[in-house]
Amino acid sequence: MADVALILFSLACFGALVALAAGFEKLRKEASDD
Amino acid sequence: MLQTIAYFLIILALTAPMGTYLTKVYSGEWKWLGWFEKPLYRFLGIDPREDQDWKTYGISLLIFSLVTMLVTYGLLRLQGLLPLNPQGFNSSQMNAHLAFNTSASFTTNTNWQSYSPETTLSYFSNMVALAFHNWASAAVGIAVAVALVRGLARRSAGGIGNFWVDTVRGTLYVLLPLCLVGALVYVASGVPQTFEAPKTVTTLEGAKQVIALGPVASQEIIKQLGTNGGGFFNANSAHPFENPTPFADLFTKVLIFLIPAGLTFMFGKMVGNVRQGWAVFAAMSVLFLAGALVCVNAERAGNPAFAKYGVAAANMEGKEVRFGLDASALFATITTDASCGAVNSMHDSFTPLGGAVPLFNILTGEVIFGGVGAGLYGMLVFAIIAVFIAGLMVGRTPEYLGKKIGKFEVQMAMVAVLAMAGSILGFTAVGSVLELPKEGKLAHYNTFAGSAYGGTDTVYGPMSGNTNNPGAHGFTEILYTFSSGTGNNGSAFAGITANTAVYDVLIGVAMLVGRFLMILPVLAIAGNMARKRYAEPTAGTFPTDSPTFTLLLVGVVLIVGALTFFPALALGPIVEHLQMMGAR
Repeated sequence: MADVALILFSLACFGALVALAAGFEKLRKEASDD
Repeated sequence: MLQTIAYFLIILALTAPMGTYLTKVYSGEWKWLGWFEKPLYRFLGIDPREDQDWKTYGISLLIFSLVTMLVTYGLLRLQGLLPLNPQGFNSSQMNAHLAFNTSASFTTNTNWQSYSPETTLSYFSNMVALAFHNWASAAVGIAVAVALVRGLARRSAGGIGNFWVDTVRGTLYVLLPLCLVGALVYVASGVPQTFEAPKTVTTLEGAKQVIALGPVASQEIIKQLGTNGGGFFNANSAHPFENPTPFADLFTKVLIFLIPAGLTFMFGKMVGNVRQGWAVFAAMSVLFLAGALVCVNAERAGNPAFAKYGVAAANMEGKEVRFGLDASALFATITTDASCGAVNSMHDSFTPLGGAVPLFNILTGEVIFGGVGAGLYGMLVFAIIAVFIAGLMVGRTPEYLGKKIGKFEVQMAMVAVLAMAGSILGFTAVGSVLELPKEGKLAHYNTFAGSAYGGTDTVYGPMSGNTNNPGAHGFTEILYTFSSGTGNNGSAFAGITANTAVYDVLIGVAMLVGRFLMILPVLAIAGNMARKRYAEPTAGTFPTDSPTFTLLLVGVVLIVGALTFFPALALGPIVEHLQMMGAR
């Protein structure tokens, strides 16, 4: 049970990082449009 | 200080040759392993000609890190079923939260170890699950630095390189050849390299003692060269099988700074002005020499309260007499300037000011030569902040290397700085005040034999109860733990029992934050800078290859570190120093 929870937690952490990268790219495009 | 100066001169002499070699590797000029490299790309389905934009580069890096972290987690948990396990270790030594912590630790180049390796890990776990990351995380760190340098050097370009090619080339051309030679140097110095099981011997007193052995040399070399720092033995580089002689100690120290110093020269070469690289090298050198000076002298001064007992004040507690005081203090400075984390002495036993130096080195973001790759890209983030501040002071648009520094670059630099500060201070606050429940898994620590500290107690109450000391020193132990985790250093102040569910998971998250919330903004800066046009310098351009810039850069590193962490340092080593002086 702890194994599954920690693996899912790891996946969630990296999923959040991918979402953050997408957010940074959006910021970058907005900044370059200014 | 003679040791420090001699060491620095060795690093200075090696910087340009190493940097030239790195430039040739990452510009693709060196192809002598092409016979192996090209089929490898074909086998892995990689198109080496693909020039990735920053987001593709970053997501490739995240996928690689996630997959290898999960594989490591599985290998650690299943070590009882895997070969090269003469001690018969299994998952009872490596429970779930420890495996999470360890896999996050080695994936992020931290090598924090909440366990004692010789009583926890099989040879297979050491050589495959962990040593793989010693290579991969080092190659990834260098790749990110190279990508940032390309972003700064290229003009009106969309891509910053290819993550897979950079990682493969770093491994094949840089780490592999140096490790092959270096491992033999360690073996010649007396470091074991064997698959034999530990030996049980009879001591002179007639007692039985188990002498742990293993394939140490092959792990030792990449541990130092890749600024990983995770020991084969719990005593790390204080253990005579990891660091047998004064020569091995010096060799180890040189390995730690070799690539980070070389990368500064590579930076200068790749941006077309080696003076730019030397300016960054000079800033790192000033900070390194200042830290070494303070640390060595603080340890020499020792505790003045001992003087009235007629005991020599110099602080030898926690230090290997084989190396002595100066070499131990110098090692502590080097290993925390870089994000190595190997230790040849007990940082917890340093004087308050002596111990504050390793701590402050980590709090600067480990940009003083720093981890392989991580030191350079961290310092270049500070360089962007420095030119931004300089631009504000003189009322001009800030520029770096002919590119205008805009809103986005400053935003990303701030994300990197604040993520690190938030993680260190936030988790330290949690560690200082959180009360653990009386019952349930969160209440337990030291309940299995793999613990670094032994014992079978079940403890509940405040997390600060896991520290060995109360008061200011105990606070420093918690602050150092989360600084080491977030900074991807991995050295332990060693006064804290970290192998609990809560500490293992929190430190694991801190390590992931410190690694990837630094890398993503850095790659985003690289991607945006690569797209910019080059503007010729004018009479009003602030020169970034001058001593003035070096001093500004040093000032920014110190001021950002001091302003962010001074309140925490005041509660820890500073108040402890005042207490010590008051007890005189």
